Amino acid sequence: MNVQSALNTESLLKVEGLSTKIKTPEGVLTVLEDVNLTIEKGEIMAIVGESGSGKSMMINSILQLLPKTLLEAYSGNIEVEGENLFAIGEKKMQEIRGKKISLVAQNAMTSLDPSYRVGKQIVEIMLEKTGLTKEQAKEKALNLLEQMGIDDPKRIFQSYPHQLSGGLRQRVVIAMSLACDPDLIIADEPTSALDPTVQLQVLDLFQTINQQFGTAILMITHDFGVVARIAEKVAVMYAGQIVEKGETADVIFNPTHPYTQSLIKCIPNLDWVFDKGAGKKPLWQIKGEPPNLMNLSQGCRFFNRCHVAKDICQSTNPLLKTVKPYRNEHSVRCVLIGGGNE
Amino acid sequence: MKEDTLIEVQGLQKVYSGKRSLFTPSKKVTAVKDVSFSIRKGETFGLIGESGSGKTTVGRMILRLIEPTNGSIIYNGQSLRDLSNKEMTSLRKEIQIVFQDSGSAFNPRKTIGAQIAHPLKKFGENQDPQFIHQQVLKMLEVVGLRADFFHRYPHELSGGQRQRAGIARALILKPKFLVLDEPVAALDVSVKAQIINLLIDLQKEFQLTYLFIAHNLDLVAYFCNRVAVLSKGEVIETSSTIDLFNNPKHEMTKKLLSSILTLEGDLGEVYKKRSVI
Repeated sequence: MNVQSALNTESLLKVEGLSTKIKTPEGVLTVLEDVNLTIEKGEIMAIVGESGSGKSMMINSILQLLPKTLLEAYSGNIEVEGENLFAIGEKKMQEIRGKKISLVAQNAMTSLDPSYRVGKQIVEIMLEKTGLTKEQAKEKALNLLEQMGIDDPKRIFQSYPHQLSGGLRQRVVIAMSLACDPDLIIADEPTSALDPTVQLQVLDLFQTINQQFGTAILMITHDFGVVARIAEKVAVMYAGQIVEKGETADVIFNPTHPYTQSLIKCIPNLDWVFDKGAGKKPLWQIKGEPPNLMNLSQGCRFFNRCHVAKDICQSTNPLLKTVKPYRNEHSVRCVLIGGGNE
Repeated sequence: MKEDTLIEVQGLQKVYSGKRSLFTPSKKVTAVKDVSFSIRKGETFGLIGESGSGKTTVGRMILRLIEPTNGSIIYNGQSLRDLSNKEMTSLRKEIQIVFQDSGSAFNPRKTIGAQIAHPLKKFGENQDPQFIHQQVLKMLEVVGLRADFFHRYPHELSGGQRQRAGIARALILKPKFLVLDEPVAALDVSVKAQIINLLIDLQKEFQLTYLFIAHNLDLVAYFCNRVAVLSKGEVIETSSTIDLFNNPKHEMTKKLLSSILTLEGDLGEVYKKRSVI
């Protein structure tokens, strides 16, 4: 990176007009379409979506992990501190993975090798990616484990993955993701396999990491409770597109896209438990299932499941429009919001 | 046993004897220490607890899919543990289970229709193929699947559709009691709501009694009339949902309840605002 761009207050990660196409036996599939998002340094952002919404494809695109046999083409731009990831080549990309951006996968067991002690696995990354000596790396690994709230880091360091509980394993993976002091951690549903009590601890851990190390976090989740707990900004994805994004408070308390509204209404309301007069309201549900990306109609992708859909929605492909401008922008992809589709 | 009790579990216990080697004595693992509760006819009874607390083991012991070490299970006045295998088999028509992972609960090489029909072929009185076919189609409709799902294979279905098929298979023998072992834990938020609403509708339509095993506490609050909290193989608290949420007595219950994430922050904070805890 040259001096000029280092001085600029650049966004940590900038995704502009990203579309990802993959090859399938049935033909080419556009799994991401026109995705725009920016993550500033030290920010916590969440992406919410159901399965098939393109959340994981987003991670794979950002880290360029899609195998060549599967990838048809990318279009658009992904920039990390001003560097275009599509232009830098695989060797530099290797440096970005782990050192600039690291990944915490949903299932800790897939990130850990069952046949090596976890300590060795953390040290190995540091030896590979940084200039630390073996002793330095070991010391740092023990430190990291301690910072993850593990009482007995020495014992955990010497353990095999199967000897640890789910929560501990996830902590080890998070420690591993911090091994090379990344600027951004992408966390792919890091808590959905955990117990609620452990989930809370792990979420708090992410928050502590964010405050202590200034690491930005991109949290992929399907739970608005998680979003409300830790994220400053949120993007809601549906069928490969971002349908709403903005500050967490705006999106949660003033959801504007019908899909976001529905998702939030699907969370059971507990009022009837606390307020004996309230009575149980029927649980809101979204009818149907997400569309097949193979045969999308030209209109809005949420049309078939939408509770406010009009005729125009079937024929017009909505664009992402800003409903609240300036710094904390709030934008929505719906024809019915904010007038026409200009 | 009270009039309206459908199932009563007393002092249920499961001890696994670990591997024995020549020099070390076998190490015993107590999965379920002491579990007692009773479920009334027509209610939804929730069983909550952290992983490893023994929820699933209790559910499976009621069906005798896992043989209890100790304790009694009284179903409709009959002691299930005293039944012979043959008698138990015929009682299985009345007690069914819906599993969490619908992906592995189906045979990947048989069509959905054939698998929903299977219990009927094994237990049904009317073995006329035409009749069985009609019954399966009717059941598909009841759970909200189109008739053409009859000929599809499990991998062609989404998670929500497979769970609907799982419910259809559990209901085809017209059972009275269903064990729901985390039926929505693996599903998307919007699909979760669909399945819970379906279960509520089915309960009204067929007068079903549910044992709902879950760790999604917000759904438990919504769905269950009464709840038992399990910790380390023991029931630490049983009460009506409203009492449990307003007046949790045990520390573990309080911890579980505060871990519910709501939009206004976790339930612990919401509690504080309402000055309950």
